[in-house]
Amino acid sequence: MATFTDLRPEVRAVVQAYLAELDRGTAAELTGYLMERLDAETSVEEARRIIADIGPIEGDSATGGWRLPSWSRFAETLWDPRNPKVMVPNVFGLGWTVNFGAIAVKAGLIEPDAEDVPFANVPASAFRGAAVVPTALAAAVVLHYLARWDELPEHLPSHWAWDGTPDRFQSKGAAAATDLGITVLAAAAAWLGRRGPRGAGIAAATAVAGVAAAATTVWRTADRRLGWAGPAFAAAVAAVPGSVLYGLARAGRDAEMQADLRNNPTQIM
Amino acid sequence: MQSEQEAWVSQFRKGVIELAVLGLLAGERRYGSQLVDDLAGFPGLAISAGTVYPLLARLKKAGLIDSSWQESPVGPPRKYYVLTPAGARALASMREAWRSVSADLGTIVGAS
Repeated sequence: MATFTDLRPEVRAVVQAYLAELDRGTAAELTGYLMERLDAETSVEEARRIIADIGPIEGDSATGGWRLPSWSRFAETLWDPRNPKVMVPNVFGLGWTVNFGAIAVKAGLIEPDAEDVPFANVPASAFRGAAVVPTALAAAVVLHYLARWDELPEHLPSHWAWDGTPDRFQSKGAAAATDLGITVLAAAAAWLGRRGPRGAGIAAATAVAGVAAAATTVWRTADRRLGWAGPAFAAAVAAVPGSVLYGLARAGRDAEMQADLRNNPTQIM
Repeated sequence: MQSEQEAWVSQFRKGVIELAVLGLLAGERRYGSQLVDDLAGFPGLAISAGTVYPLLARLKKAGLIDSSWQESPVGPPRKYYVLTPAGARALASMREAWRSVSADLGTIVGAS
């Protein structure tokens, strides 16, 4: 056969759903194979059997399992409720990061299989809700600099030693431009309207960027050294993406559940 | 010696766990943690939730099982898994293969 358009619509849907789950290289390879095996006469069941025969695809064999970092990969790493491990390899392959999905499952807040594909069913309204986090932080940073501009010293700390003592300074204007730039950009990115795992990755990243920049603002414009700022900063940066992803995951779970219960109130098939 | 035996059991289990899960789902619809509990009832097949859920995702992706949220007789709605027609056929051929392996091994090991 020549193209997927020759297939029966229901067969095409099955094949496309399968390929969409794979990374691009593997999908391209399998597309060729599937084109040879499928034709206009193929039934859904035959197509399913052919796909089942391919077996599990673990990672990407061509690149040794390594995949390019992406927003959706970022979300999948920080939120993988099926994996019980709390510490997982970092999305960039260096170091470790927290799997908030495992924490939520251990705490009994969500099921490991709440959504077939995490964040796939999250409604747009939940993403708008998540975007409020970086937006509120950007607004707070803007208001903070506006309200305190005149009383702030000409130079503000830009780097701190491990004990929290400032050891490098920059002009007030440069410091404000950095903090405002990051928070406003993060807020703007959060409203781009991306959905699914990619949108979740952007929501988590913009929340982290917003919190980090807002905390830096508080830290460098404080009248005195903030002894609690270090631990509080770390806790905020860690907790915010976890909370955002949890909120989105719950919304996705509820949406999938409502759709299922509506479509099949009593029976599954 | 004990750990070597455990490794053997683990290898056996790895080979047959899909058959076990499809077999359980052929009997009746089940939800994830129910499958974990049911498998825990068979010491030779007991696997953790961390193995069951990724396996369910893989079987669903392959079209062998289907899942959907449903009202539960007791408690809140749950995500139930069922065998698809393709899964039923896969189970039938796996069952045949298992019988043949089991019979052959019985001849070899059982006789010695």
